Amino acid sequence: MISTRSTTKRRRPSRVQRPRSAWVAAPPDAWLFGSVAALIGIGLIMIFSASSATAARDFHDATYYLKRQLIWLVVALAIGGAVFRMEYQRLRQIATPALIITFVLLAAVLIPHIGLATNGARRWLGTGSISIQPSEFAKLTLVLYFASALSQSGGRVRDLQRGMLPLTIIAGALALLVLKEPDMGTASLLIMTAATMLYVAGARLTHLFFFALCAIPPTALIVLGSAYKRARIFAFIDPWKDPENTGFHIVQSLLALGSGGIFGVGLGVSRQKFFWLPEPYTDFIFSILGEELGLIGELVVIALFIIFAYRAIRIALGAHDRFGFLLAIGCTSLILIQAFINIGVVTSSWPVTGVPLPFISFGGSSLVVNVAAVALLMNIGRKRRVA
Amino acid sequence: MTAAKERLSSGTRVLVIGLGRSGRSTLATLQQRQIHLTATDDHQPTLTAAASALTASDVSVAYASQIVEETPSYDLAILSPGVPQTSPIVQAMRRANIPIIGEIEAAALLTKASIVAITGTKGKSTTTALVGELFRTADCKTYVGGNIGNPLIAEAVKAEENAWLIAEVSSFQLETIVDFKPRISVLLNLSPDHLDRYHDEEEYYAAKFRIFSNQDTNDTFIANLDDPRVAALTENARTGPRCICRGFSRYPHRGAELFVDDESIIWQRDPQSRQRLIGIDELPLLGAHNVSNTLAALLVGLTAGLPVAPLIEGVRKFGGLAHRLSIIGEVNGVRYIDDSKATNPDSVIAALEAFNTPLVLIAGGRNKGTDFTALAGTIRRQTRAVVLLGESAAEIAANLREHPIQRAQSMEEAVELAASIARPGDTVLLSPGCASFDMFASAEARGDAFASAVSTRLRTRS
Repeated sequence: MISTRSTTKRRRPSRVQRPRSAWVAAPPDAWLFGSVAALIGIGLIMIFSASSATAARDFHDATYYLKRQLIWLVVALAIGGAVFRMEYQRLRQIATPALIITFVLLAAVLIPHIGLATNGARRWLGTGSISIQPSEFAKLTLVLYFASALSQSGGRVRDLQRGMLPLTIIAGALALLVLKEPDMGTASLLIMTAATMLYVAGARLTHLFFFALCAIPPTALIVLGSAYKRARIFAFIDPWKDPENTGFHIVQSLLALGSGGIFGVGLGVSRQKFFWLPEPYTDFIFSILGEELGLIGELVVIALFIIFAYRAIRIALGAHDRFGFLLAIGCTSLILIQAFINIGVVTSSWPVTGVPLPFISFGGSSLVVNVAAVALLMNIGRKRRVA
Repeated sequence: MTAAKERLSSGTRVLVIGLGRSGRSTLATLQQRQIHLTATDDHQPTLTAAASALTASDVSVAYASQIVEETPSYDLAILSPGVPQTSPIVQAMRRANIPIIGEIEAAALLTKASIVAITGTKGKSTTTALVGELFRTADCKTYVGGNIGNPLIAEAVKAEENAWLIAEVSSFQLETIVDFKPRISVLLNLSPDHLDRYHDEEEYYAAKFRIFSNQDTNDTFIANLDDPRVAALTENARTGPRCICRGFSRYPHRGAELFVDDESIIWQRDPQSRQRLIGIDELPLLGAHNVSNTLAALLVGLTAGLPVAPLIEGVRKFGGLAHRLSIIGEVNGVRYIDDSKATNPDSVIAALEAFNTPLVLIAGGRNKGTDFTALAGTIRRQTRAVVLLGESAAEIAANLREHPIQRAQSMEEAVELAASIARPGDTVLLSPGCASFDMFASAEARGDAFASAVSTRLRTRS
């Protein structure tokens, strides 16, 4: 038998070979850092502007929330600095313990007398003025665990029983605990981030669709279970149907955005922040921004998030190893999905779920977690793949 | 062509400072190139000896002090690594605006070969020798030199176009480089050393970092990711290398492409390919530090694009360097190992930790001013007993307190005593942790005395 296969095809070895695992040292990403610094700066200004009325009323100190956010910023920068300098490959070793601790903390929140309740939801751990939100840290531990598991398994993510199923169960269990608080925003964020990471890691689309289908009945049960919840969540379709009750937040937000127009009513001149919009410095801060700085201000914030997205994805694609790649993708999706949901809710184009706007909304745990995620991205960006 | 290279062509006037092995080799090499040479040293006997050896040839000889007084007019000065930058002659050259280069810089200027430069605080010589062995096994034209023994410049001029020049370079040699640009550079580890010559650790490290200062993206820097200082360097765009980095590690999780997992050396050049190269138990070199040295040498070979099979074969047959954990033989089930080149306590600690059998240690000699407390802890943990020798015996004994100690007056007696303590399955290790000059001419002579004492026992027993 005569073989038709040609043997002339020969790989010519180059004099100095560069495998995928080679890297070059890259300077810290100034664009990524700059965009996040600008967002945090805008955030501080807007937190002061949006919270001063409430703070003066409740604490007789207009800068109460600004001061707290500044203290948290110092904490976030200290943690971020440490995260930036560490060897990120070492995080792989703490992925599993961190996940277990997160499960314990999330369960503890649900136990009366341990978890602190505000506005009818148990989300915090701690005493008095110092409290943390385990669900915020669940975001990072989920990303870390998924990056670790998906980088080790190689092709296993395409295997249902050994790859997809255990990871889906872990993400589902985390989301379920968060959902019990109840914190539907964070729960949906966890699921969306997990799905993004699975997709990027090369999971089968049929598997992803299958799990999405499986998730519909329980989600429907929870969401549609009570008429009140259903009405609140779907208020975004027609908020004017019940502007005094379920549609209240959205209507107030839209009024703020509308009165801002293109150039805004001017920094500090918002009317909505005077007790029309409850807690205007947290999830609905974007509407105050829109009212005071107009469409221009909103576009600047969105442009900063787009710069962030571009640089972060660039870092992920240039990551030195698969673990770094997946970690970077996870951190990026965490922040961008939050921004997307938050702006969607405020502009009445997404179901109402309480998710803060990264870097801008008031909130210590959220700021620390987001800054840590950025520090991790910048850390990964220091070693760029060359092949 | 660089300015320095033009100054090394025929008809130029070159001053060679320092007439140790490196300086003499430089003279011998440059003599063949019609360069007007002047040799100098501030040590009179060295100079006189050199003068009598050189009278026949076209080399003038002058005292360093003489040159400092006159107005020096040379095109170039070549400095031996032993001469510090602060010496009067170097200062005089600086004042007269005469370029000063080191022997390795001169070697790099004269060679046609691609250079592999290896540095680090510990393990340079072993790694350099092993890289040489691997390249030879892979049928490359290979020349090995530098700090390791034969000066680099002599090898550099011999090497042809496609050859590899494997250079062991010390921090002293790196101080004087200007355009030295290795194809592949290796930084094995960094720990404080030579603090008598450098102001502080940072200055010593800065000298080491010069190894990659001229490398660009056509070159590769090979990093030991287990050393936190080296690892941090590879992600620092400001002070780190600007060339391609590749890393090795003794652990699987540091992001290295060559690492140890499950007692085997694994090469993972991309996420999909994972290749087992060799088991740790198959390595002929003993000790964890030698696993790192082996990983470094293998990665140099892989970076140069050499096939895997000869690299593994080269690692298997490499016998190591004499007097560095070299196996002398076995008598009555007791292994005898010569580590006479271990002249500081850190090397003894590394040697002791290389074994998991009970040990009888032979140590002592002339103390170079180091402290034995850290060593004493390791000795108590790792050894059955210690036989002490030489001037520092009392000082080491004081640190060991309750631990079993024997004193010996000669190497024969030390081996005799060690043999009487050791039981079958034990290892007798000569790892002095001190200089040899109190009893022997050199560390080599001390190791040879040990080996001959062991072979006497071998003969009498059989």
